[in-house]
Amino acid sequence: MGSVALPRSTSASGIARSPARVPIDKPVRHHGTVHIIESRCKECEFCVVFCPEKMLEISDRYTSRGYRPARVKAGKEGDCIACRFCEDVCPEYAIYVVEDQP
Amino acid sequence: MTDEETPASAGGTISAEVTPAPNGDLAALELHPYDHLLRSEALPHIWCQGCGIGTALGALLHGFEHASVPVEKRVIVSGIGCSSRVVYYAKTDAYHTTHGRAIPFATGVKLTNPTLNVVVFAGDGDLFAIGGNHFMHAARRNMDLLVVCINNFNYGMTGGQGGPTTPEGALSTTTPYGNAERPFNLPEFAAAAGASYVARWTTLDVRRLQATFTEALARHGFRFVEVLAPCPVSFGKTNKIGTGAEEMEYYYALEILKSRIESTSHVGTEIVLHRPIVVGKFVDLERETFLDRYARVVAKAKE
Repeated sequence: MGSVALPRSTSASGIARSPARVPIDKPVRHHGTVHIIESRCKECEFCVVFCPEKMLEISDRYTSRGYRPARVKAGKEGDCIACRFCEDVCPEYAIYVVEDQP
Repeated sequence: MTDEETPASAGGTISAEVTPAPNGDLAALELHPYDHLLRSEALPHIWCQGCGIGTALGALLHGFEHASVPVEKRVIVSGIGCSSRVVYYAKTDAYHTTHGRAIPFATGVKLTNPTLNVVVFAGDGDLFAIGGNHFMHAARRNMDLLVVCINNFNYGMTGGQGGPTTPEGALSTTTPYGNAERPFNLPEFAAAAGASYVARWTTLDVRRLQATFTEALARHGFRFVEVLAPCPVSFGKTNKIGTGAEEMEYYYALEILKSRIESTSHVGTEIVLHRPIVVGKFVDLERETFLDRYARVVAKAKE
């Protein structure tokens, strides 16, 4: 009749039990590492302005093309939530995120 | 090479300038997740600081990947203008045509090999001023093309002259006291001409743009996507909107989702300077394409 067998574990006493529930009130927090390809960066500040964690800034030195590349703020290295918005919004393909394995 | 090997990655940044590949060939570097879709040896590209075309191209490449279009079936055709330079950076089959003639060339490509997924990527001036007739008739025929229009409201490459999409009252180098003309309403124009898929987003709606390209690449018929892109060196500067990021935020703040508008309200899709911009998907129909109808005519002629 189309009933679906739910996965059930069996205890030592032989009584079927539901599997352990995953708490829904505990959000999984992703972490990532930001990588910046400085030779491509044109200092447009998209990543700096649109980063939800505000963890990027414009550095104080210049590349050979005369732009100041973006960099991660000192002390904010662990703040990346791996949302990858900087990667998607960067018009120069100069920033990307590698998600840390939990 | 992997970025983990470089000591600079500990600080969260790496510099491709100081860490070339073992053979010293910078072109061999593949770092960014889009690098296999781009001619990375041609990067950095020529677009200005704060231009939104790169973001739109990234979304299109994301669409190609997620719509599972095989690499050998991807074709980008472009005309003349800033946005038409994408053919040099996307690793697809591509052709850079004369001014305004991207759609006729793409039509020929599609008719010659109907298995190809042909995308026309051009600017508002190329598609609606110089190539306006071609757009209209390709939409009327429901040609199997995805047309992406990067709308920056002016002729950016030639110095910010006013064009067919410059909003009324907007300043440009040819309209220093404000534009006296009314601009084209591109989504309505495409829909009226017979397009089967019409959408409009700003470049800050990257995720929505990616989803739209993924959806549109899998469809048939004439599909039109308008992307409102910042042009900080001409339109943004003359109209005092600010830098590229500020212009993107400005358009984003003005946008209203089409799905949030009541059907009874009189909010049009026309772009009026400093007034709300309606974005979203406007048309989504499955209609007979030119190729379907032409095949029927050929079969009839052969009888």
